[in-house]
Amino acid sequence: MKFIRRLMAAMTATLLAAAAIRVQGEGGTPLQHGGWQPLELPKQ
Amino acid sequence: MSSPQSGVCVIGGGVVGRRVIKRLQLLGPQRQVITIDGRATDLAATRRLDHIGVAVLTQPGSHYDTAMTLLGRGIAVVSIGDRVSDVAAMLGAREIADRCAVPFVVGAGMSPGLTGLIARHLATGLERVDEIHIAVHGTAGPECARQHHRALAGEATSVDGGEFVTSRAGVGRELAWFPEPVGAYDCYRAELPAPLTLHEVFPEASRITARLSANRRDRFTSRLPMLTPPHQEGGVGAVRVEVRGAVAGGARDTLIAGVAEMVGTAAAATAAAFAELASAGELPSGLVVPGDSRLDTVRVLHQIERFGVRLQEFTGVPSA
Repeated sequence: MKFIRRLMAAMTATLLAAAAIRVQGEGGTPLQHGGWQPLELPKQ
Repeated sequence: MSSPQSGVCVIGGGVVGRRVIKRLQLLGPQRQVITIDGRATDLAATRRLDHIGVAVLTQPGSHYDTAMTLLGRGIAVVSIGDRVSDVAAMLGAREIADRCAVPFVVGAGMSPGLTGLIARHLATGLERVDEIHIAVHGTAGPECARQHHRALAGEATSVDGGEFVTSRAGVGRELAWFPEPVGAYDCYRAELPAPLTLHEVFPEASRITARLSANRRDRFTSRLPMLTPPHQEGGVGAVRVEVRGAVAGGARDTLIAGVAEMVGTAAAATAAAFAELASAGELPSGLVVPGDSRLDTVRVLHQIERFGVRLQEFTGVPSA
């Protein structure tokens, strides 16, 4: 029983830490400085 | 020997094979296009290949043996094979291909294939090519998805300092911006044959890498059997080619181009373009690798665009 309680506590602590990092972390995709446009091939 | 406008045989009836047939049939109803099941047919003896000048190999598995059989019959071969060992074996068959005096196109899919053509086109804007970096996103049919799965668990080959080096696949994360609508994906080193084919045609490039997009689940399960059956076809895929080098004045420059398209469509358009040019007698004989300086790359790219693939270039600052 004691082992299960410790396991549950460890899992909860892990989940809380992961959630905090996920929420607080900046993450995301950095901005792209530029854009895509059709490639003009030389005329044949 | 391929004669002008000779018939084309497509071996393999998967997503890419079916699309290659469709695209070749678009060129005119008079074009003879047949399909053969390579597993159920003795390719060395079948009379169905008597009037065929070009064979497009799209079947899963190794293409080397099939290619050697067909070359032995004097039939030009266009292979979309993308297994590293298979591509290496085919690249090693240069002397055999030269002896057969017909074109033998190795790596004529999206990557290798379209990536080599784009790299060669970008290289025309540079005086010297130092580095080529490829990123690939998405898969075509189920066999392609299995190959993607295996690629993340194998050994990644790249060129560093002009020499081949291998490293563990699934590491070396790099954020790659693909053409719209695909956008940004994390990409990892993977067991991809693009560095082999690119080194063949750009021996002067000191660094060549190829990365594959993957999410956490892909990487976590890459060393396990596939947990779920692959889709019949993946969604919109993409390829991004970055060429770094020096321009005429000596300044360094980075040029980027790519494609966002269904992977099966892009691979089929590339293979069909090579098949069409081989059929018309417009390819050099012997081993042909996309990006080969002997090729009229612009002509091949025009043909690929005619088959419905839109090429895009990146304009802006190349790093995030």
